[in-house]
Amino acid sequence: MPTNYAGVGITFPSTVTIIADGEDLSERVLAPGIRTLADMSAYLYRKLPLLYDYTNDITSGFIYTYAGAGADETTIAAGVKVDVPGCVIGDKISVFGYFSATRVIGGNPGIDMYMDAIDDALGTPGTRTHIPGAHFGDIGTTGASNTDQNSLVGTWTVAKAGTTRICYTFNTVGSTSQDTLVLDESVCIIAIRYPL
Amino acid sequence: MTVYTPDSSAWITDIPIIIDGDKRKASVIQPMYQKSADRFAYLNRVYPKESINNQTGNPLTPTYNSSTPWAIEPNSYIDIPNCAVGDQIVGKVNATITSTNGTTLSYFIVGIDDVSGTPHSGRFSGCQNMSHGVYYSNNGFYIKLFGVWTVAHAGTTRVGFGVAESFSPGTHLDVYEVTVKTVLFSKL
Repeated sequence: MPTNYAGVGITFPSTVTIIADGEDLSERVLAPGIRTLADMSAYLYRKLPLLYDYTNDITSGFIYTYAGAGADETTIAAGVKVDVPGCVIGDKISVFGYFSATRVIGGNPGIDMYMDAIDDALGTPGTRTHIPGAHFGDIGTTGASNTDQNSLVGTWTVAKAGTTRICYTFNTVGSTSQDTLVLDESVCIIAIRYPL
Repeated sequence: MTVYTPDSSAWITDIPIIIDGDKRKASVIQPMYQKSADRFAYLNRVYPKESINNQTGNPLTPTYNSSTPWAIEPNSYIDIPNCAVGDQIVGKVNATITSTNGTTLSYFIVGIDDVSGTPHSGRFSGCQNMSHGVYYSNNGFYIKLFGVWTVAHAGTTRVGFGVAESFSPGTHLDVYEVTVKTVLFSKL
């Protein structure tokens, strides 16, 4: 017979037995109610939305410069990412991004910026995939130093258990020139995990 | 009657279960219910809490004229009570502004810890918008900011839309619409 009960946290009982007046207060009667309460609270604890974030403020210079040509699509700046641990299949991750970008070299067309997700990034990584909704197109089509302030939002559904990585990528599809993109002033990735 | 105030400071990892033969006394049964109450109090404390402040006007701030950093525009903030050190706040600001004179402006989400006690102010991380916006017309300009604030001083934290003039104090700025939204993530 256990003397303590931590709650299994898997099932959420739909009913709780209420002890009636005059009922015998035996272990047989009381324990199921206590266990149900423990299960419910463990379940709610496991369902807590959790915040993960990356922020970097810089008032001069840049934090990343990418130089390439043609149809490149590259994960930018290895350190600019958020790792969301303990994900299971079906979890939802709400993502928000903010960045300032200057395209200092390059012509038309502009650069497309995405927020991407990589499931199980620390194990057997899944395919890096654009997060639906988190897309910003045509950054700095003139090639001049005009800085765009951008914000992105999207939602990712975890398809493979493990640590899901949220990062930025950009795409210079169509460009035939070398492109240099500078992220400056501020960059932010916010990921809120909503467990299944 | 015994009145029990839940302890919301810590997550209780287990709940004792009475066993057959226990004496059916309050000293045996009450701790179980206390720990259950503690769990719910803890969950209530740490569950993310969302707040929003929408303001519209014509304009909200007709004569903005300041070079003070970390200043928050009138009516453009949310006060979040009972913040603890280590809590995190996600902030989002949308604003429509115009400027009929002046020069380069900078936009921020501003945080002020312990605003009703000993205030400590600063900018949210990840969302500063520096040295942009030379606007001399009434065409309007749409500001959008995301950022994160980590509470460093317990108390009520104020979150709002801040504007600073980088180079030319005296700019006339009108804020026509502003939305401040926050989500408080309490430290687990």
